[in-house]
Amino acid sequence: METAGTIDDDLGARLAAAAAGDRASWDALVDRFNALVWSVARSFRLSDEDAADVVQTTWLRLLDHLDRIEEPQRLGSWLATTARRECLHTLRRTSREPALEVIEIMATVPDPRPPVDHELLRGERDIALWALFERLSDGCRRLLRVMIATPPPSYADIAAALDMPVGSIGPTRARCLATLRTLAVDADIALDLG
Amino acid sequence: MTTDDELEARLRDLAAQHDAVPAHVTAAARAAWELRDLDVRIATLVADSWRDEPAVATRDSVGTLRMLTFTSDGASIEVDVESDAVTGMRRMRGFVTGADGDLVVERGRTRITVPLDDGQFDVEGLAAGPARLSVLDASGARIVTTWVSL
Repeated sequence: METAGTIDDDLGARLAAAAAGDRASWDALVDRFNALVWSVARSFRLSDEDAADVVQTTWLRLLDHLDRIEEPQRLGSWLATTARRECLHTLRRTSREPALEVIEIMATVPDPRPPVDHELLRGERDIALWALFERLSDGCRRLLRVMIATPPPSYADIAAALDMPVGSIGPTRARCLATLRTLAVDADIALDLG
Repeated sequence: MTTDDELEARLRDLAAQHDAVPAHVTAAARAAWELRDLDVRIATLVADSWRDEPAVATRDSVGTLRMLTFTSDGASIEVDVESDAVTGMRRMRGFVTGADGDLVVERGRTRITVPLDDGQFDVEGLAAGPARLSVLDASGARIVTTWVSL
């Protein structure tokens, strides 16, 4: 997975500028990576509030480390790793039962209604597909939720978010997408109609 | 049949629609810049009773006590963080060596001053979220810990 954009070519310069006091560079780093950090928190199914705390703590940690990031090109992985550790702490602190969350999510799946027009059909199909996504196993959901951040994270960053070897990202992705297709067939959700 | 890349792209669109980063979260991350301190010594986290423990430990965790130790040259701060099972509010107890005066708990721009009693402190009623502690060393220089999420 290639990531595009000039900031990725020059993360070292952006970090150095931010450390030297350039706020615009800080903002650029936040804008570049915040969706990745958020996706890590969501990949652990954290609530809005807990995810917001993890994201903020992760950026504050970077603020403390601005002049001590040894491999600027791996900043995404550093952020993903920091966020993952914060998520584990949050999970440890909250005695939330994951099964309960799954039930809540399933309860939001809308009842199938007769389609009125193509737009509605498409919207309903999207909602149904997203609900299926939320019902994936924790392992698949964690991988895919990070992978589908915008802009797409590198495999190295995804591996850092999951604490997995980079080499297993591709094969796991294939298995998880195949699982989602199977679930979609079972739920009669067409994937190949936009 | 869609390809894996097409399915991934569609999921990415759905995530952008249904689970985008809330605007206030991005605004807070940008605004974190204002909390940057240039004239302080950072006390780094050298011990964390929760560090590197798997999330599985949450299921049968013995209580929610977390013990943290921060050090800087000549000063150290040891903190026990406890969550109230009912209210979710945090309590921090601990002691400081190599510093005088008050301990300050920083929550974003809010600062809570806690007196040190023979180096010991005890503060209750803290909400969840990022925090750091600061003290003054013997020479009057400010020492702040790295940020931790309470």
